[in-house]
Amino acid sequence: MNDFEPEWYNRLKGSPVNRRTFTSDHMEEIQQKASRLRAVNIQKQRARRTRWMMAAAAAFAIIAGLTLYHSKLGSLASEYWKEITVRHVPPEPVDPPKKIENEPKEQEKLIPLKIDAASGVLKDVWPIDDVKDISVYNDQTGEKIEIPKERQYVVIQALAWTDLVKAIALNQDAGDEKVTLALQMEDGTEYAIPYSPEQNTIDLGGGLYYASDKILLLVKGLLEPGSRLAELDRVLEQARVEYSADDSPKIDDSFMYDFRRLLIDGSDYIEWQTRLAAYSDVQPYRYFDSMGEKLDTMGEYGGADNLIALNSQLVFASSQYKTVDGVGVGSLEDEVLKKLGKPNLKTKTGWGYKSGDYVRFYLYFEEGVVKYMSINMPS
Amino acid sequence: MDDSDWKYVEQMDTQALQYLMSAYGQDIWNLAFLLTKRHHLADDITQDVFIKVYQSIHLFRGASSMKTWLLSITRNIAINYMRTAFMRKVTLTSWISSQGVGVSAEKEVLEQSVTEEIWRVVLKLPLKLREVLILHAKYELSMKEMASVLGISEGTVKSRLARARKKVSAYWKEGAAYE
Repeated sequence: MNDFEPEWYNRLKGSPVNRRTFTSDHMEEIQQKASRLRAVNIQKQRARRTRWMMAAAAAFAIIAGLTLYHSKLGSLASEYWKEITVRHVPPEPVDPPKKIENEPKEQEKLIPLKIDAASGVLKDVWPIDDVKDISVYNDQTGEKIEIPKERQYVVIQALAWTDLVKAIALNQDAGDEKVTLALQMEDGTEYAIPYSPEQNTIDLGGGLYYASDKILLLVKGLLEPGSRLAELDRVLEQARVEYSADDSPKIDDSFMYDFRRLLIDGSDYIEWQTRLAAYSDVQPYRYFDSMGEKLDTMGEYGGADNLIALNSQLVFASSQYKTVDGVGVGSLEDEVLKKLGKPNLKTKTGWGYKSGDYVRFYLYFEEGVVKYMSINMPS
Repeated sequence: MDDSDWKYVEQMDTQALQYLMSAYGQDIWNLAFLLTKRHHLADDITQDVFIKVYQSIHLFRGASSMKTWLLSITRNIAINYMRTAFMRKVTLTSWISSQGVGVSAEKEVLEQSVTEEIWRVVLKLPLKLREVLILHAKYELSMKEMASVLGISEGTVKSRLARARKKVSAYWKEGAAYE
């Protein structure tokens, strides 16, 4: 670079603001939060260790039992094997569903993205900043769906922070259902990244990597607009738009709620994690949490349970779940105001209630009725 | 504590965190503010930076100085905040409180009593040019360090820096002409 520096250059060495803005109060707050986080992590590690020990004890008991009755079980197993091999004869092949032929399909004209790097995050090895536009192709129908500009950050962010080591998919089979993310670059080149909604994985040429939970919601919203995840995506997106508007309301810090009034069925986020372990009707999806730099699982709990576990947020969609004041899915706005009180943050779609330092309890409305109730992970 | 010592730290205690915050806290806050132009976001981003460092100090391997490493994390988190808008509240619930501002970003910048007129000029630059100029002029990073922090080539850094300087010089002269 030219060593000549303009006369104003030196002025930029000073502080942009005329007072200290990072104070001892900030430091104190950060230290407390760091300590709390570590305590939660230690708690989780202990819980994991306990579960492993219990599993090991159970496995030991089973092995001991099997050893004791080995001879008897041997004959029983042989008979059972005969039975299940008969029972599980694969059915006669049927004609596969006919695919709509579009030769050559539009997405097949794109350049498949191939990342050779073995480590780092995608943004460091590929010019993600140069992506100009993103769309999705349904590989089954060949249909092209434009991703609205204001939602493209979801894909950009998930791709940018894909860790080429930590996000590697445990199952490298993407399944049958696939779509193609088409990335148009500033120089006109178009790249294709196959995405599997079944596995929530992207194919970067050298292997499959888990995408974020938000990509799954986005794609479901685009491809299966009637699905539960699509519905949720629509409402959360509407709330996001309202909160992000220039004239969005400011959070009212003048009051806060007793945390007990913001529990759902008497449990907070952490307790709900334990409760969910006992729920069986779940469609799990793995995702890569770029903030935590780890793989995690989100879940769609079906049937009467009807709740969705996203990254650090539990969303309740059934009227069976209530706060202690009786607020829940199906409550009307007036009813919520009467039973619970006014929110600290309010837009048409999203009402947030504050307990402690943060807003952790949200109600999402549709046409004046609570559609979802949600609690967030304590940060 | 020397930079080289940090690379041997596997887990950070609150005393070490305090040391880092005292040494680099205001620098981190300033960068977050200059990138986002929002006071509340700068508060949240600074908090996230130090929490991340507290949890991930083992990832610091001394390839850069501690200051450059922190600036890099700050820049990435700030970009994330700006890109993700509301959805970030899912993982960083504090974001929502900072987002509920009723004034425009530019107005808020003015309200922050920026020390020098030159900063108002710099804050008018597009983000891509602004970040390069700030990292070079204020934080005195080398071309190589900036390329690493921004994830772009040194050639692109040079070209962006030249464009940023040209623009600021033009605004600056224009402003002086009216005085």
